[in-house]
Amino acid sequence: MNAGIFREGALANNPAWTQLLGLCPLLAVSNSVSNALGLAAASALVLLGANGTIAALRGYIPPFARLPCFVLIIATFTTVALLTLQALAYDVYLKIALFVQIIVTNCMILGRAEAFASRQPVGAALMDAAGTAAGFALALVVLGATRELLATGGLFAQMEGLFGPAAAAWQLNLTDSGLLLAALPPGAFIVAGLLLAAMNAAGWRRRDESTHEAQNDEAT
Amino acid sequence: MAELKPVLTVAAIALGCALALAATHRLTESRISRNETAAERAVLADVLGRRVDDALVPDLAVQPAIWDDCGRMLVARRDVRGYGGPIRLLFTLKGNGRLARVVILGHQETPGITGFLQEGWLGSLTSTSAGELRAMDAITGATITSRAITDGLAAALDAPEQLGPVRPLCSS
Repeated sequence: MNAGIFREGALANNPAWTQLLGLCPLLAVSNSVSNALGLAAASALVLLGANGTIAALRGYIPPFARLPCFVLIIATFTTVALLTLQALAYDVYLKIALFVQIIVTNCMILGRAEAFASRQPVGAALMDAAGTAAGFALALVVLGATRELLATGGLFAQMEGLFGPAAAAWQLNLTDSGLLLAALPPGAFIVAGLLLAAMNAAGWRRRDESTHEAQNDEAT
Repeated sequence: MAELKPVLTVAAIALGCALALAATHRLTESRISRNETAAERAVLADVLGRRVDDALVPDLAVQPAIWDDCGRMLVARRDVRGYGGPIRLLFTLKGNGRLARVVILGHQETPGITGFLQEGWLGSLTSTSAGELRAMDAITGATITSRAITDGLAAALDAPEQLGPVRPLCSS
């Protein structure tokens, strides 16, 4: 059952592509694979921490004060993620710090807290967080790789900021020419829109499923 | 008493969060400050061509500021106002009123138009005087950014004393 929850969050109910949640950081940070992975890791830490904590405290949190409590817990984990990033991957921190900070107000995370973690046992909530985090990471990396490839003609630049000096060798240069637009903010909208259209055309988004619709309504 | 319980619950959660943050801060504090100084030290060593004694590395966030590198050259920090926000310049001055090197510590200019900064334009400023800087052509498409940098550097060359008292970067 738990594997089903994971799959649901990562693929069928992918926060970015199916629910279109968390788009602000998704569009802003996805200009390279290394930035995308940094934000994906920070979001995963916050999702797991917040979902787990909220599920564990679900019997104690007074219903009328649940939103302040959720935001307090999410803000705590966001700050923890930010400090950890600053300590472990300083170069990546310099580039994406702003977007890690606004994870606090990411509706994807608050949505999972409200719709799932506050009503489910800790194990299921952690599975849901892992699935959602994997789905968000997938969306970030796909968009980041597409944009980096279009903009610079290469992939995996500056990975040493995340994985140490050895990762500098991972950089791939396929062509010298790049389409600068893809790295700029308008490129984020255009590339994300085209990817979404391609996924729709390929039948990625499952329609006509009332259970998912109901869950989406709750989350947004 | 019944209405007090939810208040206490929220307070307890807040306390737990505060403790978690304090613990994380404790754990990461020293590593973060090490990362910050290492980043500044690397830039400074690059500009000076030598490593500065750890105890003497200045705080590059503070500007305007000017330092004397053992009488070899002057090193200065100054922000100029670009198109998207401050452009944080670190540069060295030769004794004859000319620039030696210019490094950009950070900026918020539009990514697409700042390519000229990576393409050797900063290198072309080497050995320029204030007059030559003012006479330089602005970069097409990045007029405000390039003008802000050349004007800011020219002003610093004209009146280095405006950058504050010269402080030493050497122990002797």
